[in-house]
Amino acid sequence: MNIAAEEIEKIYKILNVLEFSESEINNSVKKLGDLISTNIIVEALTEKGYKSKDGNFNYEEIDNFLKENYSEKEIKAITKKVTNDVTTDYFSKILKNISGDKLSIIENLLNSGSK
Amino acid sequence: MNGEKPIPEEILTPEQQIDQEKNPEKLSKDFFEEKQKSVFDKIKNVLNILRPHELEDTAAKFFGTLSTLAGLEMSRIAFLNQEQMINIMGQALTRGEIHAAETLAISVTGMGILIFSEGIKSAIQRIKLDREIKMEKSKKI
Repeated sequence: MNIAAEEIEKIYKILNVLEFSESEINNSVKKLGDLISTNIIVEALTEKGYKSKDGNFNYEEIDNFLKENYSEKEIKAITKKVTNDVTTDYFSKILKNISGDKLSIIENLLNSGSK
Repeated sequence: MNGEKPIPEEILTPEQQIDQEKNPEKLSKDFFEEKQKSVFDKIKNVLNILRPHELEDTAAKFFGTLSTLAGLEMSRIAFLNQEQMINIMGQALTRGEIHAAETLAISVTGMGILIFSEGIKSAIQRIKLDREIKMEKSKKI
């Protein structure tokens, strides 16, 4: 299993601890992924001042803009920041009403297998 | 709350009181509804959309397209090994779905261990701090 898969597996386990239904776990993980990926690209486009001229967009235009304006290192930095921000916001929201016992279980899950 | 002392209602705003009654699944749904509106606003700005009635269609297209484009849909990549990931990215690139898709997917794969766990740990620290502050306030009332 790759590193990302181990991390995502933890999210599945946490949502299971929170007693989400199976379909809601899958739905939430997908929505979280969609939200992160969309925010990464919107943030990247916004930060360097991308503006569509006519309200339309296409792959080639976005591809060219990102390639011309960003290094791989910069994209990684944005990816890291946005993912961290969205993840923190999401879990701050959904964990806020749970008991201290469940928080401890989740902390143990997070620490398991990490170095 | 498993024996934990609840936060007295008088130190919560009405919105917080309603939130306090919601379970994580309901809060999760609220979160995605709220964030989707927020990301639509950002898209509206980026795409320079002047006609409000066109926003929803365009934003939905943008939202769906970019999540596929970036190759980051986590439910798809959760159980892929490196070779499978490369195959998927190869297919995307063959379809003309850009260098950025590869860069982003590799970034997330490589940095996953830092970003998800760290984000969740930050959330837990934030919640603990928030609870301590509220309990301190409640002692003073």
